[in-house]
Amino acid sequence: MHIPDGYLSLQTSVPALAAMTPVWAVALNKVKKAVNLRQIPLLALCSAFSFVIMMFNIPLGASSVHAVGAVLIAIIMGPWAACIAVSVALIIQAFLFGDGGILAIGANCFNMAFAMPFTGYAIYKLVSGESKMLSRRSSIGIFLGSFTGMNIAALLTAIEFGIQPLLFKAADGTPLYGFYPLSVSVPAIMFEHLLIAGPIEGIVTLSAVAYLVKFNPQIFLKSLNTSTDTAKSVLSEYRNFIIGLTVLIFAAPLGLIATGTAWGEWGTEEIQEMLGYIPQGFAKLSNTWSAMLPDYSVPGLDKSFFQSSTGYILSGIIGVAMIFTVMFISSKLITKKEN
Amino acid sequence: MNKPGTALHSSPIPMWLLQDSQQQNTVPVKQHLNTGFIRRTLAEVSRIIQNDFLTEKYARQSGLLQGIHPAVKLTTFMFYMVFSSLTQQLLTLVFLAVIGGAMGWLSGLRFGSMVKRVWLILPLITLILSFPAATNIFIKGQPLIIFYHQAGFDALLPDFPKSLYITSTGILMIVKMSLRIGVSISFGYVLAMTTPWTAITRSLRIFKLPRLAVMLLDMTYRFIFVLSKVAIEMFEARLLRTVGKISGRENRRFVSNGIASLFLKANHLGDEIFSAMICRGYTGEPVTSQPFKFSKNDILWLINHLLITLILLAGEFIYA
Repeated sequence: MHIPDGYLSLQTSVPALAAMTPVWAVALNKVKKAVNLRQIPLLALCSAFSFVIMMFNIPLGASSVHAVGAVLIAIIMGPWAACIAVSVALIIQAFLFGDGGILAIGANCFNMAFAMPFTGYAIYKLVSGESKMLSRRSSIGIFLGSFTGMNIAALLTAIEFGIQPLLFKAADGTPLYGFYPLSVSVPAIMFEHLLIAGPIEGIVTLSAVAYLVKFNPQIFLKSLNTSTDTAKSVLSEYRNFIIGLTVLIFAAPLGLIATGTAWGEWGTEEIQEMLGYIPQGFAKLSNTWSAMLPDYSVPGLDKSFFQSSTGYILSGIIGVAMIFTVMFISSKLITKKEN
Repeated sequence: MNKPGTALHSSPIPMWLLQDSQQQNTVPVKQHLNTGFIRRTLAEVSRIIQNDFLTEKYARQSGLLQGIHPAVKLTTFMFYMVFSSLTQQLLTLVFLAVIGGAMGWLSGLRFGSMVKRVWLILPLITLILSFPAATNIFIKGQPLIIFYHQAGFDALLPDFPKSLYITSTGILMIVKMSLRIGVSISFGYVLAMTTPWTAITRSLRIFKLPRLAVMLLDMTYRFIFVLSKVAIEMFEARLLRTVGKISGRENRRFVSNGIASLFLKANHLGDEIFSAMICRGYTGEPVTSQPFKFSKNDILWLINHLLITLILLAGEFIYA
């Protein structure tokens, strides 16, 4: 479920990051404000815990699946702590292990560190109410909470994939980023999560909670639950914030539909249209380049395929050689200074 | 005398003693003991520690990236990642892949393992998974490989596509997508291998990330090793003690209990570390050491990448 870079357009990953920023700010503030100082090392340990359990393989037949554990942490430590713990784990994974893209950190955190623990926790609280831990009612709540949390995260991932071919395509309709529309991405991802990963996450969360209740029941009393927030009070306390966020999330990609051409596809005509004129430098540059390499041609124009692809490959070789020369020289200069 | 599952044998020597020992070893472990999930977990968790060793090794070498301010590195890499995400030019993506590779090579990273870690996993998987998308059903374009054309399925399946072929645009698009993924991973890999995590987090202070967040990222990284070690010991102990077939249910319970007991250990450690911090004068305000100083190398580096960016932009405009 870790989305790598390249699957999402920048126009999806940046709004997701923008949506996550206030969430992180509120979560950090909550932790900071809480009187109990011991929370900081505990929170770091929780993040490390979240990181490590994401590597655990849960056996399923001859194969195995991964757990996320966000709802488990939310049940023990509260959803805000879970949000921070899972976010930190995801950020470290993205930077150091390449699990999930660096640009996609916002989207991944939104799915797994925000939507997952909060929905999971809300459902757990709604179902279990004030019932005793591990009573039948709260057990169902724990299972349903983690099952739904996992599936919400998966659904969001599927939607983020699925809107790519809808929103970001070239003028001729060729999709630029993801290629599978919602009709493919949602069933493909949800089938697996509804039937396999979701129930497994539910079972694992439930039995982990059962173990904790058995061996260390006081953990649920002294825990990081910054707030004894029930799902309701979370909703009412942050109502405006949540509404604003929802609007932002839906508005951000919509605004981009209208932009037309993707960045980097601007021909000189489009620049002229956008700016009203062609910057002198661009015109010159483009002329100089065409003059320097007269045999160049643009693929798809009247020249033959062979000619144009030769041109393309040739410019590729020239470009690589230029880049490499520049890098090599500067590297020699930099490492020389070092020594 | 006869073990269950072995055929009756007239000899007084048990069947299993007569068997070739080599033959015994070839019995697939996974099928009989069901320890695949333990091995996979051990492999994944040990990768964390392995990764840190590699970073330590590479970050100490003298090379191109080792001499650059982490914040400058981070900015440059983010810029290239954004560039790769925005460009639609195959050429630019190839250039960016070359830049990532060259950076690694000039910083003394092993080329083979870099190719393996960066290009042979996710980009390849993506290429294979996206292959159906290269057909005319998802991406229209010139036919390249035709599976069938104008076939009459109308009578049987009216909704079935009349033609199915791989389009040249489709191939181009999926190749670009895989390249984009590889480019992003290669910059991430090069950054992670040449920069200790604490240097990355300290440089994040320059970007005005709150101190608390930086402290959290730093501490978490250290605790990951502590908890990884606990997890490895837990799974190793289980692996060594696994005899006979264990049901999937029992194995799942083992993992859940493992998760819970890992949490208890983390919780206990949290208390102890907090006490240790208080003893050392912690007041609740995190103190971070001074960020690194910028040097002339960083200016050289920036000029270098300004030039490269110009080359990339030139390519963009020629083929725009």
